[in-house]
Amino acid sequence: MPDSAPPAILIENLRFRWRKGDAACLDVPALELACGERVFLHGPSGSGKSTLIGLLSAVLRPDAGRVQVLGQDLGPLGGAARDRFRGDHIGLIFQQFNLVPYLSVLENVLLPCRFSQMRKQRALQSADSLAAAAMALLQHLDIDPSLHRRPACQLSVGQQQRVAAARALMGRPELIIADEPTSSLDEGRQMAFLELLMRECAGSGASLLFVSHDRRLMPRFDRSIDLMTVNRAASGAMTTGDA
Amino acid sequence: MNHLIILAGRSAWNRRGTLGLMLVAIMLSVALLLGVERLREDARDSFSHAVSGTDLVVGARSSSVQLMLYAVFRIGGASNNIRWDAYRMVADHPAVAWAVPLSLGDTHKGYPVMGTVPGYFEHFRFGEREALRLSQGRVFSGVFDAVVGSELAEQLGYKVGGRIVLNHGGGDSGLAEHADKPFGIVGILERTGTPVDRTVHISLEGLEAIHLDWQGGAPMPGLSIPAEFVRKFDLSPKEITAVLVGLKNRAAVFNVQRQINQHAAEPLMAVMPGIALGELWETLNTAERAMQAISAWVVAVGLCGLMAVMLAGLNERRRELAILRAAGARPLDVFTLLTLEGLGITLVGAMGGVVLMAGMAWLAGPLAQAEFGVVIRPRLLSVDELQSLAAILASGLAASLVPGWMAYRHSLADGLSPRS
Repeated sequence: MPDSAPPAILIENLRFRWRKGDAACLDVPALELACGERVFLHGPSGSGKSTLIGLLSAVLRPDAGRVQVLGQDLGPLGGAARDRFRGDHIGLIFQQFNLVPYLSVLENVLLPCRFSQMRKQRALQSADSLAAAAMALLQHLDIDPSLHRRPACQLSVGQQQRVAAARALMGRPELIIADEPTSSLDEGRQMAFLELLMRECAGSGASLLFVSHDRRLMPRFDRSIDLMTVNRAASGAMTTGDA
Repeated sequence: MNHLIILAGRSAWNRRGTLGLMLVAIMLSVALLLGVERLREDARDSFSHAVSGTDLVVGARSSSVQLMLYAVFRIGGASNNIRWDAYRMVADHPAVAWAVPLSLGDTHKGYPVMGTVPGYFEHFRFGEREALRLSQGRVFSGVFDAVVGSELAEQLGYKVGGRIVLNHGGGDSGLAEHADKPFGIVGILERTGTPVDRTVHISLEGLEAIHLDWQGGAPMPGLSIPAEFVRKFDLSPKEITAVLVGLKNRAAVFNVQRQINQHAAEPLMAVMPGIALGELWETLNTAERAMQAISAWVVAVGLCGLMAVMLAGLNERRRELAILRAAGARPLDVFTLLTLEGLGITLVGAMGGVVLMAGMAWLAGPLAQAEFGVVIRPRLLSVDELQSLAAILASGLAASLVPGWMAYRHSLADGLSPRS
């Protein structure tokens, strides 16, 4: 890694609880993801995976400590700036329900460019038009051109997840966060999806934080982090029901 | 903003079933609001249009509104008649330029029959002081000649040369017919958009003739005078309903009015058409305001419905909104999206309401004219109507802010995945 690039993720002494009076849900002294690194984050239900993603994508605010993404400390950012930061720099993929059902596949992939000027401009650097950029991505992710104009809700779950990956990668955000993206896929497809995602992240130079409880996928990554050991709040006893 | 408009449209289209019904409700309420207002204006215009250039209407003493309604608009119950002497007195007044006697009461197939003199066609003015013109034939001259209005001729398919039978009184029963003395149509008037179009005009002598063998509203038993013999009788009118008066100099109107009102031989009343109409509007004002208030209320109910439908749908849309947020939409975008949807539905509903109203006016126009004598003019939106529409849009916007705000709140609370 070049020294000049800030780490994709840097967490210091992070504490978070859902409500005042509750026990802490997250207590993470340190967690780092280098720029361009592809990391597998695992932990059982209740270890605080989703909460951590909320904090990293600037939806939640830490009660104490520091969350830094791409060198930007998210703490002092106001509401609008946090939304802008997420829209510009982070691509998100969830377990399911990633796509707007009434939009076509292509329109779903174009969505980030509608909300973020930065991603729109970056997409246009590598293609003549936004549609061309989106179609190239879809092609890389094995979505047949005949499906591009179809409403997203008509696709199979596996196709939908690949379209969601294309959307997360659209406009080359620096950080991709995938929250159990393969859990709704059958076993044979999980590996194929992972391969495609890894390849595209490498192609665009994005760092990848891949969250899953399925350790069989782990060997494919640069590094893995067990949240149970990183999160002091979870390592003792499972304190919250949040998955 | 553009992409949000497109997104709002696509999302609304996806829920077109529910929103479509809401759209129809708003269209109907807007059409009602505009329609009530337009009908009110058209009714006023039609009434104001019906007579012009007549300085005074003279009749038996009653209320001025009743006299106007009956003598000019042929609406409402008959007022008392006045004697022919009273007409002579008015006609001979030095300030009077012309005086036209009118005698009402009989009908033909529900259309009013009016006895008058040929001078009526010369002096009567409507609208912007327009004179009556014949589209076919000539003015009546014989006792059994009739001149009919354009709408009546059109509806009943009458042509010059046709024969018609008059009914006694307002009934359409066919029992009390002046069947023994039919009238021949000698002329058809051009369209005026006034009650003239629905009137059968005959001479005062003709009216006398058909009542020769009648007394107290029924044929006299055992007495029948054939039409060919009526000229042997005195057909000069004894009584009339009203007199239309034109003055040589309008400045004298108050003087002449006072003199007629103080006529000793018989209780008379002279009214100025404009003032009587003003009184009529005053009487109707409360009812009109109530109608306006009700129709505005209906629009408000429609917009509340829109708000309720959008709020009810919000819960099902939480996932959709969370997806948008994960794709980079800000809570403010979500707020804008919902507000745009409500505003868009109000806008389309308002435009649809305008079209609906125009369509209804086009369809119901002939009926309104036939039944109520109200001419519905097709026309562009007036400034007042545009203001009403602007107020509806503003209310629609206000109503949409509520679901917009709720979605904003949900969006902040849900983050990128809805929690139930």
